[in-house]
Amino acid sequence: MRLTPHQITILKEVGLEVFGPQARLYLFGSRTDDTQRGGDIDLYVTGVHNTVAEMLAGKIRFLVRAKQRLGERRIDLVFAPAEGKTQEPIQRIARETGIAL
Amino acid sequence: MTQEVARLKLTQALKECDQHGFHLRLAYEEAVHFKALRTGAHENLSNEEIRTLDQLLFRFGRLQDAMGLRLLPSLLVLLAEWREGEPFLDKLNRAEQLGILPSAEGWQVLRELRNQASHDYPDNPEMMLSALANLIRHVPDLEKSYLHISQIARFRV
Repeated sequence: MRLTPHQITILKEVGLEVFGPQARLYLFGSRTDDTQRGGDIDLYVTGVHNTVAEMLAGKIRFLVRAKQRLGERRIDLVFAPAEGKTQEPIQRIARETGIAL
Repeated sequence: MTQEVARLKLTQALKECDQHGFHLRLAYEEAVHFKALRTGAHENLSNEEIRTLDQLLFRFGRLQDAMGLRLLPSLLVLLAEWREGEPFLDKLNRAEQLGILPSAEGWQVLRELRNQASHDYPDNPEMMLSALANLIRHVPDLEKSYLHISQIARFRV
């Protein structure tokens, strides 16, 4: 995985602060591939059960705080599907290939 | 000479921001009444309402870009606070310390709100509406931030 230990620590700290201790963060996408370079930081979040509006507000808080500490970079965050909701293709890939932080 | 150029650029940036702000306000005053945004029933959005939301999103983005890429930089040059090669986030933080920008974090929040609302959610209309409603609620914050910067800028032109 192409994240430094320092970056991982920051992402986990911000995740805990914004989503609480029951949430888990997984890295997926190009940053899991050691042979590539650069690319977005794609994160998959499980354990967050809120309304759509709350999840969106949480996502914005997470991205703002993470970028403040990591510097400006492309970070994207995908939530695990809510109970009873169909899994979107991106959520399936993230769940199958994600590496826990 | 440099100061003169910066002053001219500042004048232009103010004019540009005023225009975006004007059209943003028009779209905002319509959009706050859209029923679909309160109920979350996306199928009730008319084509006309979608056009207004497009206008709102466009002007919101253009206003923030003009502020961040033109207004703020020319103001920093005029105040002899411009540092070449400094990351944008550091510029925002310094602008806050100098009292030009009300809040650097607030600025970043507005930026993410806009990113989320510009994102297409073809499989998740509920998320799309929520992101738009969220953006609309924060239009007055962007306006306040512009009012703050522009009041300082108008003393300098």
